[in-house]
Amino acid sequence: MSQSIHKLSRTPSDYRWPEEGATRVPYWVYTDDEIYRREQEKIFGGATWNYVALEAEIPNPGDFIKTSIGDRPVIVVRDKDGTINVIANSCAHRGVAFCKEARGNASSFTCPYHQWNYDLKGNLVGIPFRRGYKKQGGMPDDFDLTKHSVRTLKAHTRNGVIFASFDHTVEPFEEYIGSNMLHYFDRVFDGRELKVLGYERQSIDCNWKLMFENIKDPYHASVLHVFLMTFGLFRMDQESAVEMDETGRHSALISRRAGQATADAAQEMKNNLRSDFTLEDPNLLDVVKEFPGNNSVVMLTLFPNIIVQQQSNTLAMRQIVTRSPGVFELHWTFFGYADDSEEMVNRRIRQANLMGPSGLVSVDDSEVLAMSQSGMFPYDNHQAILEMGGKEVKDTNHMITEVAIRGFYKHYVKVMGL
Amino acid sequence: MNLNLSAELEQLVLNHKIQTLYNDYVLALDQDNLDNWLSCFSESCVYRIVSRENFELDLPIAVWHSDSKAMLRDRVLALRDSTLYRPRYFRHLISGIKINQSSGDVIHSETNVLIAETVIDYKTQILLSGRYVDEIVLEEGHFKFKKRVCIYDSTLLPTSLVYPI
Repeated sequence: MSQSIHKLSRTPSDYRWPEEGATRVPYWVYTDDEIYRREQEKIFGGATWNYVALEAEIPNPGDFIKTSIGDRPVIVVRDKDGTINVIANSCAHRGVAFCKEARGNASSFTCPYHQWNYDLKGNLVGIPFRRGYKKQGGMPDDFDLTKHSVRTLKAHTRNGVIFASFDHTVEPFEEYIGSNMLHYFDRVFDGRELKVLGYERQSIDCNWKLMFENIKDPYHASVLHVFLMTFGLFRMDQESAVEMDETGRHSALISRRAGQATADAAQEMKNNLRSDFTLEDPNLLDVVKEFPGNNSVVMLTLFPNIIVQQQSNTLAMRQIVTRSPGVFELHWTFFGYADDSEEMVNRRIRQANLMGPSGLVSVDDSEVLAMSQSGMFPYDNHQAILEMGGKEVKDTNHMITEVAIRGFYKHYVKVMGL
Repeated sequence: MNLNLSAELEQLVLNHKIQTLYNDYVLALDQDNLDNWLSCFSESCVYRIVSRENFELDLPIAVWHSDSKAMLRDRVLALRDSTLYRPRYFRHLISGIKINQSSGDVIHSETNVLIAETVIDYKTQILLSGRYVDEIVLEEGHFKFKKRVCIYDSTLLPTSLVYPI
């Protein structure tokens, strides 16, 4: 018989967090089926606000779009009175994910299996043969339609962005996000009408948390991303900051664009900095300032499923959809504003070359994250070290830190009961 | 039967030349010869990789968008010099080349494409399936892509789309 140590199931005492606290992350949080199941229940299914869609995607009554929270399929739909409902895409009868189309317009939803019919709030409004046929069959007299709605979620919209929670007792959205993160959120979502510019979707062979951590880790950007470093888009020698909400679950990586690297910085980055690399067509990085203040990059991670990307003029929602401990999907929704000039739209299209499944920058990430999973899975009794920038969890005004990942795990341990 | 041989021969020669360009293109990529790949494009060119979803919704974002040959050269340089990726092989299969009406000096044509990707140490997988929609011009005696748009069906791309396709 083959020996497969890491395939043996763990007992409850095996799920003990290392004594060092948030400076250590056991690899089993990235590989274990039980942890994954618990995340679906306590994080994505718990008292969290999850990004689901932009209002611009469903402008008219009856417009709907399909998405997922964690791995649970949901439908985001604009009701006849304009309010937004988020309902489970799983029939109350036999669980069929009844909505097939990615998007569309509907006056009601009908499950194709047995034609159970729901209104746009998810209320069950009709079932065929409820009274049987010729006095035969049918549902029992005590069957109550009103008790068999599809599961509904609590929804909240802020400046065109829609969030939802499976837990109706979740704290108000604004409190959940916290005032400092809300300030960065409102910087991009300032109330102007948004316009979707396109979608990109990729399935990445790693645990979802590695993606979330990646955008909480400015340390890697100054060593891995040659392209960002070379063109001064995000680099250690720039004025920068890492800020969090009070719980540590949300964070913002903030940076100001700089020109050529200073001599000291260039020395530290010498292995990867390509000072001789210039663009033959500078249109790719024809960056213009479009937000108040001096920050040129703000990468916001809002727990648990959304990264708001503002890198120069490329804006995108990067939505995390989990599939298994070792696989997640990254759904990119690129957007701009309804009043963008044609020139600005073209700029956003060109700068989108940096991001997505084929991005000049983000390919580095998707590749290194898959390599992380390959190295963690077989060694899942080992643990990651997160001591760059110290052991504390507090805001910093530099990039050489892993503080926001520590903040994330400080919160994660609490939510997961580890 | 009234065979207009001269017109038919002309069409055959055209088909052959287009087929040769298509073959040269996939050979360059499958052999990791990006210089040869670049030489398949005319000096003024557009190259895009776009999801069928965006194409059908008329949304402008592309996974890859280059609107000059210099931009293509920049991406090749970045791929060689700055991008981190696991080594891999590609195999492009093209079928069903269809040459549509040519308007003026531009030939419009399209073909299906299926790309197998082998990330070394992993199982070979289908990277994507889709079609190329092309505009081809004669430049210095050779047919070149003035515009090549790859519209892929896949709603989920596997981990990374590292190379041009």
